[in-house]
Amino acid sequence: MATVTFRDEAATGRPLGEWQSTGLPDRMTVRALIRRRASEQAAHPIDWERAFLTNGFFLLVGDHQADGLDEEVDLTTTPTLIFIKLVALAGG
Amino acid sequence: MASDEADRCSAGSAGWKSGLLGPRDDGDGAEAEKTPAAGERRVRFHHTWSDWSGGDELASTGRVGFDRRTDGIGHEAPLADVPPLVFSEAMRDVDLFVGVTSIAADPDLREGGPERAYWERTAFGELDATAATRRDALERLLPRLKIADRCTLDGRLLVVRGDRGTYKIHLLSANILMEPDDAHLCIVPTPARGERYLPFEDDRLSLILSKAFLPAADADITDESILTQLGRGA
Repeated sequence: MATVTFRDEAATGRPLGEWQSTGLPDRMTVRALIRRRASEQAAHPIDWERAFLTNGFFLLVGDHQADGLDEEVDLTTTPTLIFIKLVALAGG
Repeated sequence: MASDEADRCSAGSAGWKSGLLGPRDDGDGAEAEKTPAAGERRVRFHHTWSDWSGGDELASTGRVGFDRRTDGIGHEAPLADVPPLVFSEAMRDVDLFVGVTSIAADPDLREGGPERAYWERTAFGELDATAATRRDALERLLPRLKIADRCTLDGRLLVVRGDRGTYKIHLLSANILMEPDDAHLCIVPTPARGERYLPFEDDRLSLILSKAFLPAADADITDESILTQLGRGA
């Protein structure tokens, strides 16, 4: 069983908040982790997945940015996930 | 001080309306207005036609006012009576507007005169420390990102190589210029969609980072306004 720390950071690296989730499997997909994160905030997981896919935020897993929803994360070696929000943009 | 073209670009796209400035009888001062959704409030942002500087027209910005409309007539409201959301959105727009359009963010300003003094004071003073701080943060973050191999930091610029072209994002203004002719690519934050995914520190570094992701995937862009601008710049 693994414990994961979800941490929100600003682009500057400043921590904006964090909490832990315990009793998780040792390996989880990015999709499952995002769903876990959404459910803990009583938010709709589909909204979170859509935001992930459209650069509403990105996720740092260890030394790299999560590539896609199906990427598997080894929580025993990477117990901290960093969420960084991005700004929605349009042509002006 | 702001260039007139960038001025229209950023003021228009955020829901602000303004008369155009220029060297004519009624063109030396104007107030950009925004009426938030309910229509009861109005925000005014004063700006003044300032001068010619070489081939560029310059404008300066002034005070921000808040009105409340009663019986169809707007009255200036005390600041304490302005709803926090209206105030927050207005000040965010004004900050973006001033930051994006300021000539202080133009690395290639060549004109002399009072504008030059203003530019030197603002472009090479405390703002240099700001650019350095953002560069440091990007140096830490960029190697971990999917777009790492498309990005290079060059002085005050974050250079992003897309499939359709190369883009330079200024670390102070977050303006994007396109190579080879430095055409301005106007991309602005869209209004909040009412979804709150994550806490968010609304600083310009987030904007710079968000803008870097967009042209790095420029082959996938579907936004018509951006595509038109890319076509023009190519």
